[in-house]
Amino acid sequence: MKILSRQRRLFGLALAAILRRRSRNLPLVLLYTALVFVFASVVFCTAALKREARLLLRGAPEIIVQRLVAGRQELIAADHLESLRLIPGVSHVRGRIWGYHFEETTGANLTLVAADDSRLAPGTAALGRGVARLLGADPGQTISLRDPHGEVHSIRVAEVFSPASELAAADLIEMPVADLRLLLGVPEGFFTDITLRVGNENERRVVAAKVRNLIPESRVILREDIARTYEELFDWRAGFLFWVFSSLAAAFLFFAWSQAAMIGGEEKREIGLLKAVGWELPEVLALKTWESLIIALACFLCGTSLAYVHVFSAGAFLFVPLLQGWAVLYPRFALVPAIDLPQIVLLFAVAVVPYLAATGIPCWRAAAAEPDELLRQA
Amino acid sequence: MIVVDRVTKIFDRGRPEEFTALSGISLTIAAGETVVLMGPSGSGKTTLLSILGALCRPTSGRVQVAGRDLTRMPERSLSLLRRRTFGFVFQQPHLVRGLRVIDNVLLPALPVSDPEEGLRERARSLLERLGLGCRAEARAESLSCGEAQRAALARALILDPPIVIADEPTAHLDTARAAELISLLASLPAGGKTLVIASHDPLVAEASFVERILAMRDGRILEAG
Repeated sequence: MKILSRQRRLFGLALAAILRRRSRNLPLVLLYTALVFVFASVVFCTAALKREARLLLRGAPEIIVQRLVAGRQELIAADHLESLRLIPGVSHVRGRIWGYHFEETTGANLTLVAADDSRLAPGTAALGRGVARLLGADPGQTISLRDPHGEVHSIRVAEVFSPASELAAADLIEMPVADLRLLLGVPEGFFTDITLRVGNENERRVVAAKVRNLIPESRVILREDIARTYEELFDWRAGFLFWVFSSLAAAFLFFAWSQAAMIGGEEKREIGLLKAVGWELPEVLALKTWESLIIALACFLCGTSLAYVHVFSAGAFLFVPLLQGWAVLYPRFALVPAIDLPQIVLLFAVAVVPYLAATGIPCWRAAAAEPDELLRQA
Repeated sequence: MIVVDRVTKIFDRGRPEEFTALSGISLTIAAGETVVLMGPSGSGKTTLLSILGALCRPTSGRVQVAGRDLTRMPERSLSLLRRRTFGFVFQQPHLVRGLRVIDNVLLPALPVSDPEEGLRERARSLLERLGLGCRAEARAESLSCGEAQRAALARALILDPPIVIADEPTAHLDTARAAELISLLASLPAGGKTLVIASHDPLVAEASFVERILAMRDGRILEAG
């Protein structure tokens, strides 16, 4: 209790000192908050995008088979379904029809998919939330899409998805198979690609090799390869931003160091006075640490809160273009918060600890002087 | 008892601006005695007080307080000595702006683990005694010079030190305020405190409670009055 009481009194004194020197502290606080905001935004953005990617892949098939002609994807014959089903280890084979639709008025690239087990009635569609927002379409309303021959198809909105991952379905329009064949011009007996389910993780690469033997013109994509690509992509982009952040952080810490090293006359007088009235060096340092900690925590909380709002409420408008990359063509989507304790610990460690060190060392050097010298200098 | 033995203090030693503030000073002050150091500016009064009060170490010589050699003490012991043994009244009140008067008075006690209420009570009582009872909650910067110096005296007495050191305590006060402060200082020896004052104010030198006057010039003690 005595220690708590003493720390409470030191806290009060530190707070008063910060307020007393507010004109000196204000630029530091603003700069520091901005830096934490940038860093926390990158951390939140990266984690949320990785989570979206993980969710996106969770329901994805283990293997996707595409047909390439001259290096470009072409339709694949439905005849392959039976031969692929016979490969040992393959539990399920399915042909998919999907494609892209460029929405000229909004400039967005929409993804059209067909579900063969669709509960959708002919002439209806289910929209991802991003598409619904983009087209301003609610259930019951009609949207118009143009087929390759220029004919416009009116489609009634049956529902709007509310998935766990908004990124997964943000640009999605789901339709019955027959409607989508018509809209994309995919003839009967062909699919966009074929998906395989392979339960045993150890057999996937073997199955992939067998598919390549069976269909030499195929491109076989494994889910784990996509997952790794996503991770690497986001890590690379985040890494780039972290590098930028590190430069900013180094500049800021140098600034904080120089600010702390240039302890003003009044501050020196205060340290000298405290020592003169019997404060020990650790007590003076505890007070100075409280001052730094209050500033650091205030900036950490403000910067992190602003970053949370920026990423999860304002669409991370400052960083999404860089982190998403090609996905800028997507309709706008809201990231779902994916914050965990390690992230907060990382933010705290990167935002608070270096500042304490940068300001603590100059204070310690000043406080180690004799009280008489400090009072004379002041 | 304070024993000063051939104390010398040289500032900026080895540099072009080297300056000898004290030259081989020897002095003994008995417990409960009131001593005034007099002399012009630059005579070394403040430096001697700083050394007596353990605010700085001499370049050579020894200082003993109650049999303990200050010059050989580690920094931590010096801090504890300053806290428990000395109460310092500086030429400037050195109150911390933004803090209330009572918090300034409590400043030396802040790291002490005494029950807070007891200390607060003592601070209020001291401020009452010094005529600042009604200003206890005021901000330090709102005090007049005289009030600020009295608050500084209260701060020096908060931990009831046996030795009070005052450096030109009346320097920034008008005659009436100076007389007021002197009468407050005069009450201290009655409580058994040793009082060492540096001043060139005749009001201090002529005060009835002063037992010994030491004249200083150029870092030396010239005579004892």
